[in-house]
Amino acid sequence: MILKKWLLPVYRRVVGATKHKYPFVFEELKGLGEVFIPLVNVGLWFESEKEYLDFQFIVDTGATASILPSFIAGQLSFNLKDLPEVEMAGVEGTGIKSWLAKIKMRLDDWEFEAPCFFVDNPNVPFLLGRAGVLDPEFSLLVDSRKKELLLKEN
Amino acid sequence: MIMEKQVITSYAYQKRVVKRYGEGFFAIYKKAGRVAGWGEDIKKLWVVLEEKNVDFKKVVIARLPTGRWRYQT
Repeated sequence: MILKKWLLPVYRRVVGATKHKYPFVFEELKGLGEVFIPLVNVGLWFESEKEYLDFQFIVDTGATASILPSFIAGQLSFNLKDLPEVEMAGVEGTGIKSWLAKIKMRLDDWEFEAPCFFVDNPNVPFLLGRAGVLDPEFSLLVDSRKKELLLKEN
Repeated sequence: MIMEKQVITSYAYQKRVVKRYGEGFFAIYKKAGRVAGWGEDIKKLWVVLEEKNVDFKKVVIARLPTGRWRYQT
């Protein structure tokens, strides 16, 4: 904690922040042609395994916080009954039941805790949202010239 | 600078994999890009990976198709 608070900023100023680059992945959509998907690998802490397992997330600056399907909560050692229930709304306007938790994440060797919604919809994609991730942990650059996504540790 | 290799390389890759296995969760080897296991949901994938003794550190778990091949907000 002390290292993170005091020494790391000094180290960053001297050596420079670590940058994580992810090449664009494209999908083809009718009427739009090829559209890129901002995919990044994020490790989630599995209490049962006592280690981080990598998952592919879509970076979503429109999402308030990161989103996971609720059925994964049990594997991350969360009991939905113990978590605060909130309502989440998408562009369609209808609310969906979700639960708020704080989960341990990792990007390469950079570990952090971020709030996350477990959404009551098994088809919801794994989304990396703003709260706790894009602010304050990382800065995001979508470099469409180099066709890559860049996450820089703050 | 850390350059991450994307395990899902393209739309063509997604199509090929989904055509072979079906939609769902995949464990893909980070280095080779090969599919280590597949399951309709994460629980089924878990069972498959444990049966196969797959090293969890060597794979990344992804849901395919990634964008579900439809317009999303």
